[in-house]
Amino acid sequence: MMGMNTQPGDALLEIRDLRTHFFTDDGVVKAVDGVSFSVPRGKTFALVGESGCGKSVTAFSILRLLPMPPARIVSGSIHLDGRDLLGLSPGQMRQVRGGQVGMIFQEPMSSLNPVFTCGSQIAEAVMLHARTSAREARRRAIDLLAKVGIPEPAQRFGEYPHQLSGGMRQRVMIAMALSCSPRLLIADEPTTALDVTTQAQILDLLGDLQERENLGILLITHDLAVVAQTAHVVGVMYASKIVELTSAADLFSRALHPYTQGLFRSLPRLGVRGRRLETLGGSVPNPLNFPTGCKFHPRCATARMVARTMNESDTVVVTTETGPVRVPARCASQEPPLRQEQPGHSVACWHARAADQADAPPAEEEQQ
Amino acid sequence: MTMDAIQHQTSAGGAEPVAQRGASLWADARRRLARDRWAMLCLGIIAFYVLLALGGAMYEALAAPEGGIPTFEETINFDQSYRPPSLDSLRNLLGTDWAGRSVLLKTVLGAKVSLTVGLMSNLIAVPLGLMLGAAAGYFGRRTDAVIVWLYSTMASVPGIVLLIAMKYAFKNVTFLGLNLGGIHGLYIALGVTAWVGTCRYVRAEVMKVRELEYVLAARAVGRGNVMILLRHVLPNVLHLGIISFSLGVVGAITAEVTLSYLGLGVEVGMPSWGTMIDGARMELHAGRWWELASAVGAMFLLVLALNIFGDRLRDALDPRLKNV
Repeated sequence: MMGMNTQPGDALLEIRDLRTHFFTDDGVVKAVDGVSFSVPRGKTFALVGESGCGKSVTAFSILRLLPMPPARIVSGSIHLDGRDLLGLSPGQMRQVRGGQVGMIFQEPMSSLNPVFTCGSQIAEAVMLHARTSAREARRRAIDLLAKVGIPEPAQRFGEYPHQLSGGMRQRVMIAMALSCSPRLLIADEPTTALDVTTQAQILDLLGDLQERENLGILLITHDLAVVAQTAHVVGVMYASKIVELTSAADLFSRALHPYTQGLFRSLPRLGVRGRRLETLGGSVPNPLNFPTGCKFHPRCATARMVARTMNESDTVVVTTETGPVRVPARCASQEPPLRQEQPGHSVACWHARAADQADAPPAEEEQQ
Repeated sequence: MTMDAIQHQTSAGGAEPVAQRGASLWADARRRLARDRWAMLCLGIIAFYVLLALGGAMYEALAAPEGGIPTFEETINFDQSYRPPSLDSLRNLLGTDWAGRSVLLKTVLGAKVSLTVGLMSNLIAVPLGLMLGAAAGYFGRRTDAVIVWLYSTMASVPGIVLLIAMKYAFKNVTFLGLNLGGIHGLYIALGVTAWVGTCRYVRAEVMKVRELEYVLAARAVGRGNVMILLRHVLPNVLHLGIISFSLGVVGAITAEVTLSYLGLGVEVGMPSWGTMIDGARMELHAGRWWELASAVGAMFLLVLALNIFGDRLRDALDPRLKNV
């Protein structure tokens, strides 16, 4: 049984066709709908997307931290080091949480229990998985505090969360997540609540720890700057699916999906003056009522551009938030699969080539 | 020797770093409370009552006649009836009652009954409310539905009617050595009717706390439900229990007085503020005001002190009012 479930390959975490749905009174919310990716050992995989695209639900599905019901993992597989996590009992799952997989959260302000000292919370996590004495756990907690770059760790051990700054608290959270030397760290928007300087420090720290401990990191973020600083591989999520999957270098030099391109165009660029930032028209679709076909087509600039070059019979007019738009018929009726467009670069778009060309001019402009 | 001790300390500190304790929520609250003069005054008054009650208990243990229940029956002295308050003796400081017994002594012994009732009934009500409220708020679903149904049912029955019913139902019933028709029954009756408020507050607060990220973080390091509830949720709502306790004592004291006034509270002959008020109400028209005034005054001061202290305690424990 175990042998059958093991997966070859050197990926630390392997997610195949994960579907996590929420069964609510209003209908089924397909928060994650067929997501596949893998986190390599000792590398960072970043899952990028805007609020509500399903990136956090994906992360929470791995450790089964979702409220079930209403949430249910409908299908798919999650393998950690070749071990199927979805087949584990709740007791075995508790061993994985904090044991093989550590997790840090967005809000360092509320991620620590205000009534216990930081040190005792780390020691608690140590004792939970390694059967050690309280004394030994304390010593290890102080070591961990030192490891995450907290000055005077012995003093900090006895301090309460409210006495620490946001950055310090996030370090304490990281120490807690690393307390049992996990192989995978899930970081759910670890720097969103921090200011930019602290953010850089925390990201540096994560990078250091990754090198020292050969730690695989699954980074959940909406911040492309964070991705640029830390990620090796990137998956861009839109409306419950991964729409673009490639190396970080590739994504930043040549994004192929119109959505990703839109994200990049909405960033301010150093050296380009006096131009309004572009925005993505419309808003994230309601997961109870996704558009048919490609879920991005009502907001897609490429689709509109391509439709102008096509016969009218091959296009349809769809009503969007911003008014009626003519798009290619295939975009509105068939959902594009995630397929390899270039070596190591997969995109879910019927017109990725057209999008590539469309994006070329601003890229040149940038180089000037 | 002192040098030795210091050296020992430093060497221990060198071998193993000594952790320093920061200020916890409780230490913080204590500091803020200590700075609050009204709170300290009220705490002083409460402490005074506690001492009185302890004194009363000792008097009963030492001076009450052998074999007899600790009442005043034996000290009946009709020559001394209805002496108005006077300064000529401590015994007559607050006058005497119809049987010539010291009103001062009765008032002191009444403090004992009131505080015991307040304490015992809340020792039942607050833990009950905390546990049920925490379970309802944390587990939700069916557990929540059952507990909410239970307290809604309790809340829909007027407390005093339930108390009267229980007093009559358990009349002359003893269970595990507890006299359910008497004072023990009163503790239980007040206890099982007073938990609803605590339960409601705690349930609401737990619902809030269980969604906080440190609870999720505790799950993410592999904690189970029971330990999360005990270690991460309960300590964060414990202040509600303490506030409920300090304000609940007030409710229990007034309930005891009301019930005793109605003849349903403490056993016959046991001095309590309620029975004092009951006994004195017919004598007011004859100008004998001191027994009523003593009982009411004693109760008023204690209830006021408890109320103000409970209020200040709540402020001190409210993190939102920090540094105000």
